[in-house]
Amino acid sequence: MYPQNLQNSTVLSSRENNESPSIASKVKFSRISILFSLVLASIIGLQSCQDNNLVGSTFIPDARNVVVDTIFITDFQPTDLKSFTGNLTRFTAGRYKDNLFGTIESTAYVKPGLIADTLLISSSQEFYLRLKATDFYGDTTAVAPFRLELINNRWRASLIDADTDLSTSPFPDFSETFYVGKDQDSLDVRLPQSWVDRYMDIFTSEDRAERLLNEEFGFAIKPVDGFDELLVGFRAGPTGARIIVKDLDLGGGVLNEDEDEEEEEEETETIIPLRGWAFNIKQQGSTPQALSEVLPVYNTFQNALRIGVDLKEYTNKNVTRVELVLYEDSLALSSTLPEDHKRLRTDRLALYQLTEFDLDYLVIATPTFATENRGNQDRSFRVSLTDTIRRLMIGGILSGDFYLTSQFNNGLLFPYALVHPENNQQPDRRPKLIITYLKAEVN
Amino acid sequence: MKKSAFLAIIIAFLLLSPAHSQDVLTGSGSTYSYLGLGTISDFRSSQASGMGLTGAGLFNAERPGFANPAFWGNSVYTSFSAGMSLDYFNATDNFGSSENSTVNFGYAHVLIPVYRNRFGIGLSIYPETQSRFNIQGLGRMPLPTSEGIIDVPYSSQNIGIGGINRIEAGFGLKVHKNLFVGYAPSLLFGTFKSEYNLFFNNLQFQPTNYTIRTRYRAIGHRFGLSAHTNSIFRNRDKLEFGAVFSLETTLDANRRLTSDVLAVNRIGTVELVPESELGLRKITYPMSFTAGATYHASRYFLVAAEVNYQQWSRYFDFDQVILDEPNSFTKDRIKVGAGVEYNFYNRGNEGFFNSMVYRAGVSYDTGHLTLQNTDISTLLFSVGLGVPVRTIGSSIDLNFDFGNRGTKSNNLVNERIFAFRASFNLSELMFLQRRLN
Repeated sequence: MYPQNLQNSTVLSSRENNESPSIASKVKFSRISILFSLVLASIIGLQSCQDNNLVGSTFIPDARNVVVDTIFITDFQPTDLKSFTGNLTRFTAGRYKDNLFGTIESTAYVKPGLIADTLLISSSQEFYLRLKATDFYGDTTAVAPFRLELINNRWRASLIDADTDLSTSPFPDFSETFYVGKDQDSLDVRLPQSWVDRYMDIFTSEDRAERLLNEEFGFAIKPVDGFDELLVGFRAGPTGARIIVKDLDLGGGVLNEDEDEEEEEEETETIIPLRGWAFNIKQQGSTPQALSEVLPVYNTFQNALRIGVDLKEYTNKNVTRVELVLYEDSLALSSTLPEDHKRLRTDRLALYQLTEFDLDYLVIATPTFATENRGNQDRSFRVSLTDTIRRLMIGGILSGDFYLTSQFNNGLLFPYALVHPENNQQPDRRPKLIITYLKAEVN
Repeated sequence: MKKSAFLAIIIAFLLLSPAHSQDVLTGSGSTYSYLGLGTISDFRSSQASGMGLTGAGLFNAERPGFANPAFWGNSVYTSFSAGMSLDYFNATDNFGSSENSTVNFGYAHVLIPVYRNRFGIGLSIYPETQSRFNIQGLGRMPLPTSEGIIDVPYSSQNIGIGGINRIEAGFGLKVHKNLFVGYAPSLLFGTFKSEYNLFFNNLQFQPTNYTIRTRYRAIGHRFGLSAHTNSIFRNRDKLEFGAVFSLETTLDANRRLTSDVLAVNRIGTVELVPESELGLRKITYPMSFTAGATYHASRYFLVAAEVNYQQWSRYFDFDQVILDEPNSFTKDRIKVGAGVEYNFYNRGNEGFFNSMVYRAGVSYDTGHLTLQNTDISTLLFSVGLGVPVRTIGSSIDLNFDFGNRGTKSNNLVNERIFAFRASFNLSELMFLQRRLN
């Protein structure tokens, strides 16, 4: 039984003559093929249209809701990090009373090494400590007086830090004061004969290396009491401080100011390199009032500034740019320097990321960020933390807090001042994070 | 004929090569699909679609479709139908123009007549709404930085894809020799993803983006009624009436906000706002009522008309629900349409053009959107071609729509619409012992 309701159907039984076309298979193939082609051509024709939808701006809201938040950072904690002052490229000695940072005093320590050729030197020759002064922090017109003393105990350069105070004693037969000024880039300090004899005794012995370690501890270069006008940075290493041995007939105790004499030195002098050098730093009498108005930053890991900002707070923002901005307190730095006084120029800040675990060890890592303000008219330091926060967003781990130091830890002293978070005189220059992010409007 | 067909296929494949590389998912549709739940898909029957109708009042014994669940009670053939569509939009406003196209899976429908002409069950999946847009922008924005305010050039792209779909299982039942009813419960579900990308032409600013994903779920109910009477004005003519009522339902909606973050050669997805933060929201999905009538003047010719009403004024957008304020952009929708069909195939004449069914129609839709106090209406002309496949008693239906949506006045968008829909219908007298062969 066929269904009753085929009145409008297109099945064969409904066809008027109830016959199929005479060459049905051929017609069917052609028809389907043409239709198939038509479908494909339509798809191709329409789908090839380029999508370039720039219409509908009147009812499609502008989703580019870019928000810029400025967050002032108020939490800076001075933190003493573990580091050392030994065997850096420079060492510092002297004393300077800085109106902003207080009196900074530094004593340098050096100890002589050995040379291989035992026939080159003798106790009949003159021994000098040659110093190469390169950097001057303080009154540039002053001449800094120093005393040379003997160090009483064995020490290792890599273990000397800013707080180390080695026990010293004056030479029994020598109390000469020597002076270093800006005009002198090199000076030789004659070492007393008693020391020369002792050194040569060690030098000529069979176990001289061991004896040198156990008996010869070197010299301390101490600023003379009462002087507080200049800190001097000395060059270390192969072209820096060293022991010079000269023949008697060449004289001694004179300053070799002429660089042209370097060649002569190579021919007539014997060089005994230093086997270690270091220095300490004592900071006293800083002006509390001044320091409450600036953020002091140092390069020696003493009083490194821990920045108390929790970047995880910003990981729920769709950040496109995050800037940490710090400004030099140019006003405080310049207003506290008398005429002819100068500090070593700082144009670089270093940010170290250190965990609590790292704080137990010497800081030997390279900084995570280093930024310079050279060329910045506003003397600002800018650090991009965009990738740091974006890494946190996708599950990365923040490898510790940020600690801020100035310039390089190279043996010189670069005390520096940034605008304090509570500085109301320069409110726009306070430390801040500028966070630029895309905000989605969802209710 | 065979040669020309072969040539056409070759040309089509050659043309396909450049188009093949395009990702159809990135194609975009109507600009207006940005709003609400997108544009409304009215396709319910491949036959009625060629006449600009949904087919609530147009019964076809071979392919009853899913326009009206009541038709399933009057079915004879076990049938399967599916289709796809390709839509092209040429949009212009007072500021520019764009061309967009998209290919979409259309629907799938299975009908099993448990008792022929008395009781049948139907399973279907089909889209209710569709959202697919690709909106680009260019400009400059002043951004404060430590170096002062920088004027940063940018480009933006807002890509959206999604839609509400209905998966439905129901039955049709004969209650009188000329009266059928149907009921189809369904699951309404859908996901909308709107991805916004912002690129800066300045290396100091990294590209950023976010994606808003909203999921919807609801249980829906459709009821259908179909009645017909024969020999009204002439012998073997027939008048049909059909109505479909879809109940208002409540969509459970969840939304989350994520961002794909690239940091130092690593990419990860960050959940900026989790679903739990925004919570579950109840979105009203509007009721719909469609009534249609068809007059079969003969076995070859029919004329049909239809009216559809949807109460979109009760729709609250996801954001609006929490604000408890009615949407400003939706309103009730009325769509009317009429069309004709001439069935050359039933005349039995030979020849290529005599072996097809021709359809045409027109519809006017007041639209469910109103922007700037202007209704986004659509005038659509439809033509259809039915190609019966003799050997298996099935057919292929090809429909073309062309028309106009919206207006350029009030700075809105006028869209010229071209759509192509292809459906195939496989029908068979399964479980029926043939008496004639």
